[in-house]
Amino acid sequence: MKRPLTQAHIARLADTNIAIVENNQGVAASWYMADSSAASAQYGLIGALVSAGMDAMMNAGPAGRAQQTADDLATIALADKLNQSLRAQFDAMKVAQAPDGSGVRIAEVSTVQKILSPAAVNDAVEVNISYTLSEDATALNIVATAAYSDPAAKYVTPYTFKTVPKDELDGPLYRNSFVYESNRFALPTLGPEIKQAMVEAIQKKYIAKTGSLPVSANAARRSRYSAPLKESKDYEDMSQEIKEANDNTLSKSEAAGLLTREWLKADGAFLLKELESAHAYIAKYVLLDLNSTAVPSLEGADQVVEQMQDGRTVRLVGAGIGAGTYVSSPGGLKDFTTFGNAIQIADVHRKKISQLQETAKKQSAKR
Amino acid sequence: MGPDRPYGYKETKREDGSYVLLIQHPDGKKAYEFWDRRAAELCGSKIYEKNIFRAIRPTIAVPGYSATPGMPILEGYLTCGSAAAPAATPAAASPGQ
Repeated sequence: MKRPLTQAHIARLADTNIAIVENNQGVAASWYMADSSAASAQYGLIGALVSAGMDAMMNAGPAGRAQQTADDLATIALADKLNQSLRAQFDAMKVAQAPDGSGVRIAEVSTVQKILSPAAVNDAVEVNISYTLSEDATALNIVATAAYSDPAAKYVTPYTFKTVPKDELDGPLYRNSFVYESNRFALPTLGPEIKQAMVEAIQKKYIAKTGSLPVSANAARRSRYSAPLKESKDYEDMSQEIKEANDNTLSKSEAAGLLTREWLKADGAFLLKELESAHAYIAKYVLLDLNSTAVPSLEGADQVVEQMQDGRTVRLVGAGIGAGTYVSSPGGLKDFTTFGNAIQIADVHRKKISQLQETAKKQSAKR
Repeated sequence: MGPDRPYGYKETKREDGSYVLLIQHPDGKKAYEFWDRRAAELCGSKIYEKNIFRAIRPTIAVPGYSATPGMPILEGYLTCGSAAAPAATPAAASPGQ
């Protein structure tokens, strides 16, 4: 739920710094993780072992494909590049604001690395952001949260509750969310070319991973009467993925593999354009919202605040726990999308997070 | 539509006379069909402009069980008439079923 500023707060904030919390994950690829632990719990230890094995087999394909998608997207959109792009949009807003304007204005824009400095930044609006690609890679959801904390001023909920919930008793003075839903790609239609392209992509992935195409351990077996040799894990995983690619259904994660290429086409033109649009929208609406004292009605209706030529709309959510959130959505949607229950982040980002955590540990040990 | 009726439709009339029409149906294709059907009922004809801005299957996750895509949700703006013709008088909105 939005926590709006009051007129007195706005007057007190006046020229305020923006601290962009550095995103470390980049664009995450979502997928559905299978979990049968509850179903097998009744069969004790054996059941747990069997279900763990089955889950691992079922998850290997989708997780591997999501990992590949995340790695591919990181070749164009590294987290550092995303942070710079968001910062540039806030800088542009700072330049664009009227020199003698009133209300909350942007003073300085900076970035902060929360793994190294987890404490809240004083007298600054902190902007957190995340990027999630849908399970089938048709859409990208970008969610930003802006919050302003002031240790000297206690938050008082503007909402009326029978009993005030605990999370409305303290915390930031101002908070709101800003969602950008990207323009979407249509799902590809399954045909022989698509199957072939999927098989080639799988083989390419394993060549990149192991240096050569995994081959069957039994390929050179001389006699069919001798005991079959155990296949390597890479060969087994690749064979399973190729089998899935050749069945007559296009799974969401297979579609993601194909559509990732569309996101990356022409040096990631589409991806970069969507990211820039999202960052511009976030910078614009954060500043606008900081200057709004409107308290959303929790039972109201959504309000359209901006309508664009291409059918995109920005609406202000009017009801429920998301009341006050701004959502920018494309128009003319023709298919449904899903965002799974798990995400994969690129290896390059995972390594960077580990390094930052190591540095943070060393820093805290020195203190 | 509500907790006891997981699927159906709901419309909200906006100040400018247009509607926001929401359909929840287990079959995604049917959701689109029902959206058009309800739009025609509201407008009294099949001449209308639609702009679907939400088409999503939210994730239903229960710890210990596999998460699944939930019920398709389809939501869009409905303006009776076309851009060239003036908007037809919309039929009275009925409560969602």
